[in-house]
Amino acid sequence: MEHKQTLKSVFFNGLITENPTFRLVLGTCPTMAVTTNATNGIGMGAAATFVLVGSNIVISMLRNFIPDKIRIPAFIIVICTFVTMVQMFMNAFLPALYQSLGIFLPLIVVNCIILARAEAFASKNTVMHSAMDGIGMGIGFTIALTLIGGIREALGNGTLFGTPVFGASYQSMLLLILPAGGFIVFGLLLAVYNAVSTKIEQRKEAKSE
Amino acid sequence: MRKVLILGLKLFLLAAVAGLALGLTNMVTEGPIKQQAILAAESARKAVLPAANSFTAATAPEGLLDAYVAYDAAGAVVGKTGTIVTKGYGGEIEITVGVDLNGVVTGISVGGSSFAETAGLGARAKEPWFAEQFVGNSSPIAVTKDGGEIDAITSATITSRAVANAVDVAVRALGSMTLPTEG
Repeated sequence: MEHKQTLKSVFFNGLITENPTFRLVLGTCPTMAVTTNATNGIGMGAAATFVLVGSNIVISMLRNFIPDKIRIPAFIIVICTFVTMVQMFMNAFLPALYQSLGIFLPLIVVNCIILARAEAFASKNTVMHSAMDGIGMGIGFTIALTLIGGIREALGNGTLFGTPVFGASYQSMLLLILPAGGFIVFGLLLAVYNAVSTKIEQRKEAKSE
Repeated sequence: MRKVLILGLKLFLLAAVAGLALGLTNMVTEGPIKQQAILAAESARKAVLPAANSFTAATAPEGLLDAYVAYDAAGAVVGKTGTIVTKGYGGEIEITVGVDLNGVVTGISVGGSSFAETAGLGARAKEPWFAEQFVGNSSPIAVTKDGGEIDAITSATITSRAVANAVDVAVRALGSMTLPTEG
């Protein structure tokens, strides 16, 4: 297969142009649920990235083996295997993180980012490109989760990664830790992301004219 | 017909390889996971009964998940610990309670695998200041709203009450437990 896309452009596509959280708005359920603090955001992002890269590689390798008719069950088997492996390893070596991610760790199986990338990218591209796509998308997802988690933790609890940032006199905004606060922070960040990327696009267009 | 067979066979192959990979992972992680669970339980018991040096499992009285008799370094009985499960606001809460020989609470540890109290509210039951309030109390134990001495967590009365009441049940159950005769 010939590719016009370079590995670099694939990486930045996942990181920025098609950022899974802010651009594709995929996987919002775990995004809302686990981002009550920055540590959870990083943990969830890292777990999802591992699964994404692993499943992208395997699905890309098997893209000529898996018949079109049964591709969805085949993808699910691959993704499930990686998720279960992450779960076992995290339970064994990072029990504290395992506890705080709880049910959302096994739910990575149905995280639409991973199935979407398998369907839209890995099943049509080479192994290298798929791996890069997984890394870019995964890091994009991780940064988004950590950003939301950091804001919610800092304003809602007065801490960042567990260490106090505003001093003892800070009156924390409890709302931001609660689910409603997740939507508010997510909405505001989406607005900022869209405003910035629109500006950049306008400037590019103005230049090319 | 043949096409269907091929589809099935391919899916079977995929599942077989996946199963093999998971089996291998399980072999690697099984030991550490068990070790973690034992360590966690052991350190929870040590935390709630600092005077103890070793623990021996005992028959759990009714209402408790498990019960241990605690010995100090010299081998004398110093108290008992027990684990109780109660229903909180978001799910089940597991509480490990330690008592000395007079039925006075030496410490409690709140948590459990299905602990799902609201972050920033009920989840604060895990914070030390909440658990420390129980130390030195004996039954009856209740939150101030119910006439007891435990200050409830602000905006988390359900969680606070659930923990306080469960500790009370556990203390009474541990008190009714007969100690093994010395010798």
